[in-house]
Amino acid sequence: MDVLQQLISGLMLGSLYALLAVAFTLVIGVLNFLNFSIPGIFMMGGMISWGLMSQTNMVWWLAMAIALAACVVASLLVERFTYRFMKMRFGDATEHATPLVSSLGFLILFQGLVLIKWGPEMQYFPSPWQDPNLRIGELVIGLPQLASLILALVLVGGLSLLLARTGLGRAIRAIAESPDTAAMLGIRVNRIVPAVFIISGLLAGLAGVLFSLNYLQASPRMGDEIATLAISAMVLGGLGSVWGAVIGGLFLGLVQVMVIQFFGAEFLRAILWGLLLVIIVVRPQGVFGGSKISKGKF
Amino acid sequence: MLLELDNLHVRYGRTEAVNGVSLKQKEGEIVAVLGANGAGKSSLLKALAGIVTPASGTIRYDGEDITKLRVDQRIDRGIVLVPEGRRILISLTVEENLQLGAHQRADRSGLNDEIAAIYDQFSNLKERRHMEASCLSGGEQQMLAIGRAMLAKPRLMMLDEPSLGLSPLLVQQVFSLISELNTGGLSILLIEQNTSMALSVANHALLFELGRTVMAGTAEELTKDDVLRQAYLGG
Ligand SMILES: Nc1ncnc2c1ncn2[C@@H]1O[C@H](COP(=O)(O)OP(=O)(O)OP(=O)(O)O)[C@@H](O)[C@H]1O
Ligand SMILES: [Mg+2]
Repeated sequence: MDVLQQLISGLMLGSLYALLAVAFTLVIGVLNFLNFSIPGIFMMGGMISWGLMSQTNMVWWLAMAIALAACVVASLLVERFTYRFMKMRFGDATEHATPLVSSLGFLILFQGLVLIKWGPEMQYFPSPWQDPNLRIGELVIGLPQLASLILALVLVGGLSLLLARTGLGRAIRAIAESPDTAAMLGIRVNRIVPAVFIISGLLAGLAGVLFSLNYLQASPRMGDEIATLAISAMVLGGLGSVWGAVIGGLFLGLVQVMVIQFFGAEFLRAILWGLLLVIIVVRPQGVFGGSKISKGKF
Repeated sequence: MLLELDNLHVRYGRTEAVNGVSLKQKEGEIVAVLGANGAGKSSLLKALAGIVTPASGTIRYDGEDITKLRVDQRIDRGIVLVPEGRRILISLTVEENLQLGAHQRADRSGLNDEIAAIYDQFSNLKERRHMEASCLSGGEQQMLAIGRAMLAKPRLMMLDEPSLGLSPLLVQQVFSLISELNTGGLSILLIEQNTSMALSVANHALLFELGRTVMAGTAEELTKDDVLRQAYLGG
């Protein structure tokens, strides 16, 4: 029973990594752009909903909706001043490291703004539920955890349907393969790319909200460690692969919980990163990547 | 006039790719643009399609000044490019490539019938419709590029070296397809290095050198021209 319990916790933790990993992988897959502002957007999801709930007594769902809207706006700002700026100045934003660096600048900016407003302390995140646990026999399932897992699977399922079946998805995949050819076919690249950033910002912000709900805390630096895990999950799954990112995220969640269970928390970092290193050396294209490392495809 | 270019210039930095070209095309005509590598032929088509912005000059289409319109707005008006090198999206399926041709059409009724009609014409594409387009041969890719353009409901189709890299048999096929489309009422602006084939289907032709028109006339006149014969038709 204990193992089953751990399995469930691991999957649920992993679903947070998965959401964030998908946020990263989507932008990489389409634009070949590692968007370092994503941990900042994740953090804003948690901090802004905390701020609204605790300082204005706003009802939780409205606070979270406003926080997510703020995340989307932030993500669009990043698009405007990193990707699009480079595209207009140099005709191509995907072959330069500059957007990567300026997205790092946005990460620092977002963290700085939150620090100025709310200070560096870790904040207690109020739970909207009286008893946040669901009990099935001896199993205890946290409602926020369950919500994360279900939301992650539903959203990623929806996203991959969107990519595979809709006109927008087709246009996104065309841009992912060749922005020039897409533009030549009359696809309005400057309209579609923001859609990618909206989806990515929404997923990152949602992961932040769910993280805060799960751990009942929020802080300006809450995105730092989880982002490295999400990036690892993405690399494991193969750059640009949406389902790869999900499976990579779930896998890392499971490993984390199991290591803590069987070896103890002090071994976590050594084992987790050691394992990642081994996997990356053996399969640098990721477990679900194609046969070579390449610009991502879906 | 369907298409009227007046003193068009296209520059890339200091390179003058198109240097004051004027051209007129009537509806239903095939006009061929001939010329050596680097003459500025593709640059001309890119300017017409809206992919590059002309430095100066005007493009009128069906009486309207379209010089400043976006690519998608020109496609809406029926100006559709079959680009040099086909530009197939190889990570998408054959069918998805076809659908991309129609991606912005407001009127989508009958689209499935049109796709079916293209499959009837190109049975190789039908067999591979759900495969990635990377599995197509060069000739099949050219058919796909033309099929994709047809699904945009063109009035003026611009083809940039459609016979490039194809076997003589396939070149024949491409040119008979061009004639067939033209018989169906489509106006065609054709760029070719295969001068004799191009002149055999065209009504009018221009010869480009260094971004300028150095010769223009009916296809018949150009076929008989001594200079052209020696330089481009092998004597
Ligand atoms: N994107 C670009 N940037 C800079 N110069 C360019 C660019 N595209 C074309 N050129 C230059 O413009 C001139 C005309 O090129 P263009 O591609 O229009 O010629 P073309 O007649 O189509 O040649 P080909 O038969 O080889 O396709 C050439 O000198 C070429 O080097
Ligand atoms: Mg050319």
